[in-house]
Amino acid sequence: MEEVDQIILHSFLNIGCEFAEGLKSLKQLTTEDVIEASVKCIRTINPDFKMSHIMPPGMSARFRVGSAIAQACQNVGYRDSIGYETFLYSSESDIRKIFMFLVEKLPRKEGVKEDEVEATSVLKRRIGQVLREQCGTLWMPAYCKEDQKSVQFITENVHVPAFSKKNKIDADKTLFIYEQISHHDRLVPSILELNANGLAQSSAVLIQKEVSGKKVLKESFQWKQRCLVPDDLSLSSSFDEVIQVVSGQSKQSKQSRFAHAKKLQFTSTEPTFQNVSAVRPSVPKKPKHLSRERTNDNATKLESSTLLPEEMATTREIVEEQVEDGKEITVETEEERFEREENELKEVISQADQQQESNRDEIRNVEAKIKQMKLEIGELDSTIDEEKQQINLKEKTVHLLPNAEENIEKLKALVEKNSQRLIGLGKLWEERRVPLIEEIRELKQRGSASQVDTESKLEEIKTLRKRMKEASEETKKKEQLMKQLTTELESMKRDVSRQSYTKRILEIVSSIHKQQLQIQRVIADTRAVQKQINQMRGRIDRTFTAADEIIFKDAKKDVNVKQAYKYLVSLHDNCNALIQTVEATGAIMREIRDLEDQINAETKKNAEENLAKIMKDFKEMKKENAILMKQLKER
Amino acid sequence: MDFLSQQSLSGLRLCGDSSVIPDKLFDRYVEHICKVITDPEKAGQVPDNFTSLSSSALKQSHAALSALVVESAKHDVDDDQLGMILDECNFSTTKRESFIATFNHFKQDLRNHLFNIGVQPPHIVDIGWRLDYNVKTNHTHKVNELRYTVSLKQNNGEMTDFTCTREELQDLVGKLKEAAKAVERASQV
Repeated sequence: MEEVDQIILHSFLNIGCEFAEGLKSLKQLTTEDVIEASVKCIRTINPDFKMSHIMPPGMSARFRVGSAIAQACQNVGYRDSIGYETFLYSSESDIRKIFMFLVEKLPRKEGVKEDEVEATSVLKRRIGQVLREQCGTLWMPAYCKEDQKSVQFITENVHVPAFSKKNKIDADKTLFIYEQISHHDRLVPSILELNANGLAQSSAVLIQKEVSGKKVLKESFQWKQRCLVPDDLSLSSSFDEVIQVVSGQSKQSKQSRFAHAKKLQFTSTEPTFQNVSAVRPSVPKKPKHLSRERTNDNATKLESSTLLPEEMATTREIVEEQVEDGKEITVETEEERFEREENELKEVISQADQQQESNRDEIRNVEAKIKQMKLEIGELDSTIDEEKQQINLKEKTVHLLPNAEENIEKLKALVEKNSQRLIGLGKLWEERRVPLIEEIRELKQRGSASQVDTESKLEEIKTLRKRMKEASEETKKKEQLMKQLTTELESMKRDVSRQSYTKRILEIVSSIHKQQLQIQRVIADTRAVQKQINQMRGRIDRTFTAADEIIFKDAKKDVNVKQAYKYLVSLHDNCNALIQTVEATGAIMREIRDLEDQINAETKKNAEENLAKIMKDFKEMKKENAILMKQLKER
Repeated sequence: MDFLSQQSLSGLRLCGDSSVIPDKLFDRYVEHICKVITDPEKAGQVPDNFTSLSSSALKQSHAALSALVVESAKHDVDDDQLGMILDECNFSTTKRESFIATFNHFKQDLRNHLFNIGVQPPHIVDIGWRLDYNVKTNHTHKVNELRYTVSLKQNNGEMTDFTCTREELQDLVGKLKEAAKAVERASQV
């Protein structure tokens, strides 16, 4: 019970009840303390409950306060029936139950905030660690310290050859990266820049695969922007703000702006691929007659159309200079001329486009016709071949006609020979064919089976690899978590009482377990005893009836036997009476025990004290009512 | 993992492949790379045994290993993370352990070298002061003012001079103390 009280008082201290500091058990709480504690608890659970925690002096007000608190407790969810009397005239066990319930209901704010604060707190802790190390070192005057020369971040273009097993010859020409640098100080910056470029390119490729150059640029700038300190940090922002912004940066990734590129902390002397396209080479201005003569590509059309306004701009400048000399008329005519020429050129261009298209169509038609003609030629060739063959046949038959009969017999013999040869060849072919076909079938089956095997094995391998990766990722995450938690644990304060609480809880659980075993043993014992009693009872009855029968038979003849019978009956009766009294005493003992328990429970409730209090308060209420009635009557 | 580009990772895989770079020569290779970065005069040329291997592979793996060394020193990765990266690139255990050992040997030098890179505003290294008492000027008859003249010497040789009254000097000292306290507070998280 002490630990429970300690927990309750500790939580009272947390919510702000100062009276609870020196106390050790709930017995020491007065009614005012009880009311203050319960009001504060309910207020923390449910902020809408507005009541002051000081007990009012008047009795009716106190009654109202008590009933309001009881109502609020029931609203929060307390199951048992409570009323104003539990708070005003409290008994220790009742208020212990109520406070245990309320303390459990108190919201636990601690766990929620931790996740959000974790990132910033980790960063702060690391910063603190580094600062502590540096503060711990002794101060040395500048001329005693080692040469700390500062090196500027200047990079140079480095080329790394790609390894391919085919071209081994060219690679000898390229040097190692440290040999490609003119000055040693630029080696590390160049390595860092190379790596960062590679990362930016790969992130740009991953994000979007559209080929429009501008979009790729934007995404790589976004990646760079993520690594930079954002704009909204003013110079006067505090240390905490800086840390919050830096660590919370992953959530707020703004749209990249080209201006951020200028804020890059690294300056590069060589133009990287981003800068190249940003700095457009200036287009030299072509004279007009060259642009007119160009063929009809779309690009030149664009160029010429963009050139013309440029040219117009330059000519306007020249024209403006001429205006100072006072030649105003030439201004207008020149402009008109330029406009006319522009329109003419545009017409020419459009006409040329149309011609080009019509030419292309003609070419296509002609090509189609050529194909058709080729097909027809092919067909004609094949018919010619057939006709030739037929002509040859007919010529030969014409030759053979003079010796018709002989030739017919020769031809028949030839035909027979050929047919016989065919039959023989057919048989040979069959002989060879059958085993080969069977071999083919076998090999196909084996191949398909092995293919199925390989497929299943590949799938197994894939699943295994996936599982391996997942497992390794999980182990990484868990190791990180473990490191974080161990560092947190080391830096957190140690609450000794918590360990002792858990120990005690475990001890209590084990003792309860033992008690239960004992209770069961006792129950088993009582059952055994009850069984024995029943057995004995049964035996008594049986022996009595048996003895009764035997003696009764003999009793009619012999007088002594009659007396013996009478003694037997009286013995039986007396024993029965004894047994009954023993049972009655046992029952009375049990009742005594129950009554004693009831007495203890009642005395705990302090019924007498509370009754006295209630009588006093009742009298006070009567007085107050009388006063109020008087006041009403006077008015 | 996150801080290495694809090019470097492929170069590292090349390096981990024992057919391209054998295990025995790997030690001296890594040492040479680290020395090249920190102390070029002592590094010398690439050890001679390597010229027999395919040179484009050698150069690519050299670049990749340098990138790994520099980035690991920059991010201050511990041995486990480094081991994980090397495992992803199929390094055998001997190569891995020898790399981690050599890296830890050179790590502090690398970090010192990286620390020197960058923009560093000039530090104050020395201070000289003089207390003047103005008696009179040609505008007023009696002045009788105390004035401090402070000259701050920076580590690049330049001097910054200013004069101020006693209150302004106290102001300055107060601000410096506040700055020192802020650093202390940050260190005591």
